Amino acid sequence: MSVTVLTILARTLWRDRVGLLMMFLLPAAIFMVFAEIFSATAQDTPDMKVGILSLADSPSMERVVDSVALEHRRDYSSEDALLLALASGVIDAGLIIEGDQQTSEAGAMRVLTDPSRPLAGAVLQRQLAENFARAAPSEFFARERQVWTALVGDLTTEQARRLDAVVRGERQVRLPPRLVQTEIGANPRGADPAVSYYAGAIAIMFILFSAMNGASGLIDERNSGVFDRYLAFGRGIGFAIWGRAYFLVSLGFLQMLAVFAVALWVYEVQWIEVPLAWTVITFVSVACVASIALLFAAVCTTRAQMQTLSTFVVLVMSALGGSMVPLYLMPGWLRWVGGFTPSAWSIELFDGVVTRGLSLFDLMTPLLLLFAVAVLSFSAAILLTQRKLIQ
Amino acid sequence: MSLSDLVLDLSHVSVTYEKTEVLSDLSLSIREGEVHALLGPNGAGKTTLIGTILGRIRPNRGQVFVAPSGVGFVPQEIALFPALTIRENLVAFGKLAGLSRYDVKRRVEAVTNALGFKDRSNQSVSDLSGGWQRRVNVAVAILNNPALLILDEPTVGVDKAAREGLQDVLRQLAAEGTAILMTTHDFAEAEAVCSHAVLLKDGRCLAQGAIPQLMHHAFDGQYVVSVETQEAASAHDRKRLAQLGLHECADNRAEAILPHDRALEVVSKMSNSLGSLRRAGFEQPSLQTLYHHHIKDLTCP
Repeated sequence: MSVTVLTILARTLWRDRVGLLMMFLLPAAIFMVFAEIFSATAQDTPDMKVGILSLADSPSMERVVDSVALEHRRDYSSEDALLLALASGVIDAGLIIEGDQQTSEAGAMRVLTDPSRPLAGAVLQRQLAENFARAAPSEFFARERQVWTALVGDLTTEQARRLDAVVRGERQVRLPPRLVQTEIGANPRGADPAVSYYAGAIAIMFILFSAMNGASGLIDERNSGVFDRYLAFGRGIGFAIWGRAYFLVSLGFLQMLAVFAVALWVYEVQWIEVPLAWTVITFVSVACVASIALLFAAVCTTRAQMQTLSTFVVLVMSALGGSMVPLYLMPGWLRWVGGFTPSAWSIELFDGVVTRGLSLFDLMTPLLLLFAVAVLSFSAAILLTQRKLIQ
Repeated sequence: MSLSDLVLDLSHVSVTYEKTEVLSDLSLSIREGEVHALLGPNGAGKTTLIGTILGRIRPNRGQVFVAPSGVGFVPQEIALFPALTIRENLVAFGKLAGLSRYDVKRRVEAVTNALGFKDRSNQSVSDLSGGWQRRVNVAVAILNNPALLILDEPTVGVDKAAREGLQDVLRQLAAEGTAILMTTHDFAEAEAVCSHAVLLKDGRCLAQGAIPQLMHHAFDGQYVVSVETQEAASAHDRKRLAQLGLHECADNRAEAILPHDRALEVVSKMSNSLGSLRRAGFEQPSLQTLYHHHIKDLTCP
């Protein structure tokens, strides 16, 4: 009989073509938006709009600017125009070329940022500094020479000759390593980690939404008298809840598959290399989400009540759980709160297996937590629904 | 009458909800082919009674017997799957009722023919008119051929033609031996369909039995005398109405229940003594009169 309920619900969804599109296309579309945004920020050269004001005719400094390969460069003729563009958000960061290293007292370049976009200035400054030595070696070493002359006095003739040979590329030297070096770890599945992170993160948020919507049908059945019919048939109502749970789990599974299919084909997120782990995580995640949704349906009296409550809970759970912004970017206390949400456990599992190449045994805690919440929520949903109906 | 045709037997059933007795020592028996109207004001305990029969509410005292062939329930709302067609609804509910694949096919055919769905069986329920949706609502409840069919306000919001169609269906089911218990606020419908009436108030059964017997017991050959004036009765007219034993009702009307001879006498006196008389006459009491006689302890609706 649960299978009959599953068939009824599937047929109802199949005939609601708009609903069907929303359930499968919307999560995939939103995932692609997030994937594009976060894969861009993870690149060495983010797609920033930079305004350039050249106060000095300096070919070497232009070479440094060109080396950054800015895709959206805008040139300005005055500092006021540049500042106005920055304040109004037309550009993300500004760069003023003030002169050659040899001629300028203050410095060769000045990076300007707006308080709302401090990251843009920091990224531009880092890129310019990293490219300086390669794009304008003579200016770079002239600057270094000024530093050392200020510290220890003028170079001897021999020292000056050796340095000039290095600048001209006639002499190779082995420089000591930088004080701070960044090493990016191995990426087991090859795809952009930010993209594979958001495949799970976005999918679980939309599955929460559609599970809540799907579970609210239980309220309609209870209030319209469908459950009374079942009681009259002498069959109880447990099968109706099981049937709806099967439906929600199947639907969630297909939604997850749709998002990860896009992730695989468009962004080469190789979850397909770990099919068993992916299936287990998906099943446990959607079962947990479906059970929570059924529990809400058991508690709420009307569909309107469920809609209000579920929208609030889904948005808060998704925001805290890392569906919108990764947990590691959140303040400590928020990260701690987020750690209690099923969204966070699910995302941790997907991220661990699909992005980091961990096994399910390494991720037993979130897996067991999801499973436990699924079992407890579903049991409570059945008990509360029966208690509400049978007095 | 034998026990074998008994489909429902409630014996001294009481239900208490949050310290309030919502059903009090209620006994009720329904046999095959009987159609019982369950009448009473809001809060009388009709829904609780239905819930108790369905097994949704456990009585604190008393016993409930329902024939093993089961109950069909028609809720007041349209309790169907609107995106599915009539046929798909019938098949789905047939399966949910526990019928075998063979029985589902057989009963769906039978019900489709009996309720006249043949030409519409592939139409979505959401595309049907209110009247046809009501019909399907009833059809689903009789799929498992229940001994007792319970209907909660089955014709609310339905036009006259659809209502008469449904009444025909109910009469047909009763003629085939199905016992029916229906709540309604439509006395004309109850009179047209029901053989018996159960009058509830504050969880207590005030009267129950075959409608002719209830009428006889309550009125014993008396008639309802009604007088209607063109405008609100003057002080003089009021005094006169009271002298003749008539109760004032709304809409410039006054009524009394009187024996035939006395009714004749009152009507003729009214014609001469009331200044603004519009109409005076008498008729046999209706189910509505019986209801108000018991529920409001008055003759006037």
